[in-house]
Amino acid sequence: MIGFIKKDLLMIKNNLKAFTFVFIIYVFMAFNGMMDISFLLSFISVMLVLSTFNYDNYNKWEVYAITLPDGKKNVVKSKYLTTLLLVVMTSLISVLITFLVMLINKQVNYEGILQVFVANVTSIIIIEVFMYPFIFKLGIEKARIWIFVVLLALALILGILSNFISLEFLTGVLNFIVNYYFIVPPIIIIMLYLSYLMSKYFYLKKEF
Amino acid sequence: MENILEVNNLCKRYRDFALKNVSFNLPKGMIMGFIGKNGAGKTTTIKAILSIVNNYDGEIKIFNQDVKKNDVKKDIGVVLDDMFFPEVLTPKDINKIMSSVYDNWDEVLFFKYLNDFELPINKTIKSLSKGMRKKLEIVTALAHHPKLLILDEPTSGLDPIARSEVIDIFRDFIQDEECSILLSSHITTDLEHIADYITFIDNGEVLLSKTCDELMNLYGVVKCGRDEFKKIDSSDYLKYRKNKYEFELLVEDKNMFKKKYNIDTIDKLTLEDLMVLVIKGGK
Repeated sequence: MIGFIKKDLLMIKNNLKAFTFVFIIYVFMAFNGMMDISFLLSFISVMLVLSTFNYDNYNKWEVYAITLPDGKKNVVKSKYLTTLLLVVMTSLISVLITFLVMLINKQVNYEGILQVFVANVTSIIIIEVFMYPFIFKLGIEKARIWIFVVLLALALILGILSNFISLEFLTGVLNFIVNYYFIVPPIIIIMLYLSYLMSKYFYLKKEF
Repeated sequence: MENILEVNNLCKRYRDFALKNVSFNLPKGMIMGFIGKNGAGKTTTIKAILSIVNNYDGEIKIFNQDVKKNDVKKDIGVVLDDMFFPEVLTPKDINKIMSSVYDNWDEVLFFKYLNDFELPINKTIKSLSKGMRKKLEIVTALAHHPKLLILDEPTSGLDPIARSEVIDIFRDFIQDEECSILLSSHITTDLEHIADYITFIDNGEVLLSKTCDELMNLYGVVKCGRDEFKKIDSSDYLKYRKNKYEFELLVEDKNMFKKKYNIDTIDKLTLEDLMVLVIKGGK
């Protein structure tokens, strides 16, 4: 499994050059108060992991991997772990940059920094939770279309629900999440595990 | 003789194709050539052996262990057609990855093979030619000292020099008589040089699985004119093919045929003749 994680990290490292320029620009913008860098870094990390799916798919790695020891077991597990590793790493970097920006502006708010960290990790992991089962079931190409369809459907449902749910209720839910952000990680971990089980099920059932 | 690979009554059904009771054994220290036209079932059989396809009937044993119940991959080296590491990686990256995948990954051997094949260490797979990429796949399959090599079209895309180098490596590989190779290839001349056994599959069925010596010593191709052909009993040949000027007959016992029909020369069988006559020939 370590080998499979190494493979993804090496692929990301080889692709990193393309993102370095974007990263430098956004660091510059963050220091000038033009935008919040925290979300962007995590977003880039997900983009990098998704690009590994593209290359895997193009070279049929998920088939070749089965011919390696414990390959079948490790393909899905390693992808989830690589994403987690990367999201935590980039979120830490974004927290560091946020802290430096706050320090320069002499407005350091530690709770705010922690909230930024949890919000980043959580939002990206939610994307992982919902996207990866689709990818392992359908392959990255088809999954993209289906993810779009599902997001559209969700937006539609939320749009319809908004007619029946008051703004106060939604604000209440949001406030609850902000005030009790520490209960979010356990919920996310459970969702992540369920997502992993689904992805594993789809991958093992797949006929190549 | 102890078998390193046993395939017994392998059946796998798809909507438009099926493997039907595929059976063959590969003994230790031997190379088996796995031949058949495109779509005959070679790759599906190999995929079943490697547990890439599931839900098949029959039994596959490697190192005397059922592949459905045991993970025997640590002692197998594999080259598959068009399936490998993502192309943004380099041979150096592959070494880093594989050293964590295999306990017995031999870094020194890997770099020695890279050097022997003049493969660049730091270039991405994407930038390698088709032949170089194939060599890298073979080197990667060999560097953990496997006991069984399973190779699907390993010499396709290689020039004659590289093919000869690769074939020499395969020969060396089986020298200690503990290791075996299952080699599927369209380049039948390569197989004639190195295979000890030939298994011929067509339309999902094994038509024959014999030693190369048996095939070459017993089977033959008779060439004759129309008048001679009419005199030959159809039970004395397996298949025939009408060419522009002559008939070609595949015979199973060339010595018997020589005596019975008083024919002096019968051409030695080539695997290409065998495939063409069996698939295209009539009876």
